Amino acid sequence: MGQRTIIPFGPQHPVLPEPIHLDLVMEDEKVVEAIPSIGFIHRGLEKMAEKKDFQEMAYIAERICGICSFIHSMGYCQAIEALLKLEIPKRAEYLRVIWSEMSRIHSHLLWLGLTADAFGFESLFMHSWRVREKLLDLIEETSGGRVIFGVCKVGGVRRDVDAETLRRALEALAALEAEYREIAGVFSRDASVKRRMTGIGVLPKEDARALGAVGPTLRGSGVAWDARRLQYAVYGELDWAPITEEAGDCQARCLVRIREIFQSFDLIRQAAGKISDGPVAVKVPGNPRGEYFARLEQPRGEVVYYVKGNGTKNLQRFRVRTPTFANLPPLLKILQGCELSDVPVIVLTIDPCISCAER
Amino acid sequence: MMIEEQFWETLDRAALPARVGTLAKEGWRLVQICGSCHEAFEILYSFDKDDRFLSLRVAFSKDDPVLPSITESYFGAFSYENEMQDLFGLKLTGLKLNFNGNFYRLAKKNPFLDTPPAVAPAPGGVSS
Amino acid sequence: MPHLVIAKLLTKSAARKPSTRLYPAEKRAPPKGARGRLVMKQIETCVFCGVCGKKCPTRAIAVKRTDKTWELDRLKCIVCGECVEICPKDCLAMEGEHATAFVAKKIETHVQKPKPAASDPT
Repeated sequence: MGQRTIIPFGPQHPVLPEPIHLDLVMEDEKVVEAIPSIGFIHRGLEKMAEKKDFQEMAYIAERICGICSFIHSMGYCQAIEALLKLEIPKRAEYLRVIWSEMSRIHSHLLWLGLTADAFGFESLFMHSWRVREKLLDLIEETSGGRVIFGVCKVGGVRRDVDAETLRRALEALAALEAEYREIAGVFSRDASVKRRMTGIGVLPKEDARALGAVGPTLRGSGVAWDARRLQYAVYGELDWAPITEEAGDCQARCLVRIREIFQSFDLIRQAAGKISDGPVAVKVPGNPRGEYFARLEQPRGEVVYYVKGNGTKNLQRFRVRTPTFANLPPLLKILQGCELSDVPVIVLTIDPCISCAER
Repeated sequence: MMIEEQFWETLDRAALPARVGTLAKEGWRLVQICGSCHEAFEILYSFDKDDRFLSLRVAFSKDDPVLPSITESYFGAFSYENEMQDLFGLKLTGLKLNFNGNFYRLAKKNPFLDTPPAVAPAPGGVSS
Repeated sequence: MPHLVIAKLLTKSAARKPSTRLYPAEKRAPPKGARGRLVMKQIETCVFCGVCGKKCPTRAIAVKRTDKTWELDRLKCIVCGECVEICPKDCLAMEGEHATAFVAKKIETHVQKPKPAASDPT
């Protein structure tokens, strides 16, 4: 047994702009154990719900994360709507699906760029973000915001997208898909990318299940669990199936995300084809009472919203279990036994969003 | 809009490890653990199996903040249990991976334990 | 294993003009409906009902009926547009262009000038 050293990793690290600190216990070049600590940017947003009006809280929920922002507000609104037994208009449900799939594409493109950066492929990073930028323009055109959409509210959505804008958005998305196809080809076929990802950070199926992994981390290990299967919003009316890869390594998690982007393009097309005319919001009747768990699929995995209301305008308890928090135990497991130089790539393949995890 | 049917079970904390052990054997997936503390502690454990959603509710007094850990059955629960330990000051017995209060680096110890002060009117708005 | 799969993408990219803009010399026109910043379009028609301040989720707007002032703390404003939607007199507007950076905290104050006394026709 060699001598053990401890290398601190983060919260400020050149390749990982996320405020997580890992104490890496090393034996020569191998990681024996990783000890995490978080809380550097804990904002106490869950506590804030006890003082804020439940309708205004949708804006705060959206700000839990700057990347999967829309699905956060959508999850919060769905939880409150379930408490109020509120049926929201079909058109609003379709718009929510379109926006959440746009947000998935933008999040996955961001992730692809960051991963390319983590293994030192700068031009691939730039190209991923070039495509993402065009998508952000589309998001701004349809919702009004680039990253914080600000369109979801309890009872529906705050703005309608007219037929002309939607048609133009679909055309732009088709052009984007063609551009993205070239980038996806590099990620899935290039030898230098494969060398950094194949066989690295393997998470076996049983471990993924037992440690509670979610999202592409779980699906990359061959478990077909996707919270969209619960058929919230209008996912039940669209034709799709969870995407899985069997290998469980970094490459598999990357491939899951690459294929999910294509799937999201397809889901947007399907939803835009089926959308019907009508109102986009209903009036909110009274205050929430009772408790409910809403579960949605974010780009990073399943997010759980727990709300408990007592009939006043403030919630009694608001709790978010973000996907990154659930993916921490599997991360610690796959870091055991890896090389020090692979740590950034492995940490990135769970798509960590520590700001999400620290509500 | 689909409102999912959710099942609830209330049980005593002493009975928790055994019940969770059964669920683990039956193949349920641990979805989340949520701690809350108002008049008393209330911990919710949520599980999922074949699209069935089950939550266990464990409530106990603030004077006795001790809770048995479920890491024996679900090792991945250590992150939630360490979180509760740091935010609420709970003591987890039998926690298999215990960071001893170093999981969250917080400026204030156990920040979620205090009950918030009564709602103060926010500044701004209209005044005449 | 195929090497340099990115070559095709790079060749295309080299032949094309840059994807970036020479900001701030060259600015992008914001798309229609973008939420950039909140502006007080016309203080003259404001009736100081204060609905915007009540509706504001961050309490960035303060309306004083007695002084006839309308104040905005731009650093608090999250550009959600609730106030623009609710304003009964249509005084507020959302511009597509974003607010510029700040060097100091400042509260923007708009004061309504007293209306000239209606002249007596007799």
